[in-house]
Amino acid sequence: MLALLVGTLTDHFGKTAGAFGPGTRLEELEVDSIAMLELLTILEDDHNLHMPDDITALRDNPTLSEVADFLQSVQPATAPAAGAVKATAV
Amino acid sequence: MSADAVAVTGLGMVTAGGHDALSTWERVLAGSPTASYDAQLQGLPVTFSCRAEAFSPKQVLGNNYTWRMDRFIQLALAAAREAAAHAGLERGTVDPVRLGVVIGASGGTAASGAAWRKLFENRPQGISPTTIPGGSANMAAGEVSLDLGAQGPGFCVSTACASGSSAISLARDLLRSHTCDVVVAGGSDSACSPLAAASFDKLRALSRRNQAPEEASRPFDADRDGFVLAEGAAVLVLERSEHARARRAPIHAYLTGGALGCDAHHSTAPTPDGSGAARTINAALASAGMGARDIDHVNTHGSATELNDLSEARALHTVFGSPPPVTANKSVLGHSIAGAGAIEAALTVLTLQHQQIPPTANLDRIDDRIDLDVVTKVARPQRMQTALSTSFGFGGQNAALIFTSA
Repeated sequence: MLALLVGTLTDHFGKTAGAFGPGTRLEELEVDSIAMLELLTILEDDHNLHMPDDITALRDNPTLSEVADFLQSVQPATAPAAGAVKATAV
Repeated sequence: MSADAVAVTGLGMVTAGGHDALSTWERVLAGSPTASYDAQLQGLPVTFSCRAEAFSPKQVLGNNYTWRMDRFIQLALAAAREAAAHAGLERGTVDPVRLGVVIGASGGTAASGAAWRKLFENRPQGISPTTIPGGSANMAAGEVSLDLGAQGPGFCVSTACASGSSAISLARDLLRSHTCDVVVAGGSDSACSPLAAASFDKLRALSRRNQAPEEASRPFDADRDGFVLAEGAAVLVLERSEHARARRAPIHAYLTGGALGCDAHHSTAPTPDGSGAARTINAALASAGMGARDIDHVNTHGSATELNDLSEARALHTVFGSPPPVTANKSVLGHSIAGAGAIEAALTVLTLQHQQIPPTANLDRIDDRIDLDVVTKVARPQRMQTALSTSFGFGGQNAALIFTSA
């Protein structure tokens, strides 16, 4: 999850690889509320992650590792099954 | 000039002619067209445009601005930063509540295009949250206000090809009414998107000179076949002269008059006799307390559509009888729709400063229905006190600005 976050921040947002790590806070990366929503959109649409309606846990300038932990904690128990359900729903 | 006269204390430009005001001016003064093949338009009936290739949003604005906004906002930001620096408008130099921002814009198509694609793919979850704030017409002004810390009135003007000049005229009103002390005003557009190119082509408004793009934009020329799409932005810093003097800001020219008007004739075609344009020019003269004889030069709308060129020439004859020398900057820079009027306003200021009229490129044989002294081939040195800049947009929406030498 952390690698996915780091990859998206470098590829899509143009952040310099190696200049930040798990302990870097979002504000240091200039990731504001819109950037956070953009990040979640990419993870959901391109990487099939489940996004909960309630993301207040991400409000208080978390570190990247805290973001990764939160996103991991809200994924369904068996990710492939969730993906399969999504596919049949479409 | 009176204390209430509106002074131009800064200007910035990003165009196909260059990444800043000086490089744009030099390109226009050389009369060297910027239109060239545009890979983004490949496969369309028109495959060329005037793109601001020298402008790198990543380099000028940084990574945090590249993914979240359409190019027209990036262009506006770059031009506004240049204008603010030129005017010495660093934060803390003016009361932020008295600092306004008015930017002409059409709105972007890139963000909404990507969003439509997601909808068609049945992936609404993939629509970017930047779709609205990154593409709406008001957000050029919104982002410029944010960037400059301007807390006064901030808004967008959208009058198609007259947006940039409309914004500058309205900024003058905000200053004369003492609503603001300083207004950052201009226009911005990235009008060479595939959607714009395909759509304007359907209106038969564009030149299809794909084999020789540099010869395509030919205002007033008998062999013209339409206008050339472009992108670009220009921003002026405007303030009452007493305010400029109090903070020792340089005064480059005065914005002595400005007016808006509407043909109320047809959705896209101008009045054939130019009466709508003439009314707007006369209103601008009246606002300046001037007469036709006070105008030494006209920076025309000069879009190079047959309808515009004929209507504009007739309007100038109605107002002036014998019009002063004119030029058409779109021959070099193309037509950046909402940006064009502001770019031409900035170029009019530079024309007065340098006392040189830039040439109209590609004018080899003037349309024999047009009797104008068009400056062609090379720049013409001329003593000028006051110049008029005109813009005429779809919807019959017209604007005219009058600038006077400092």
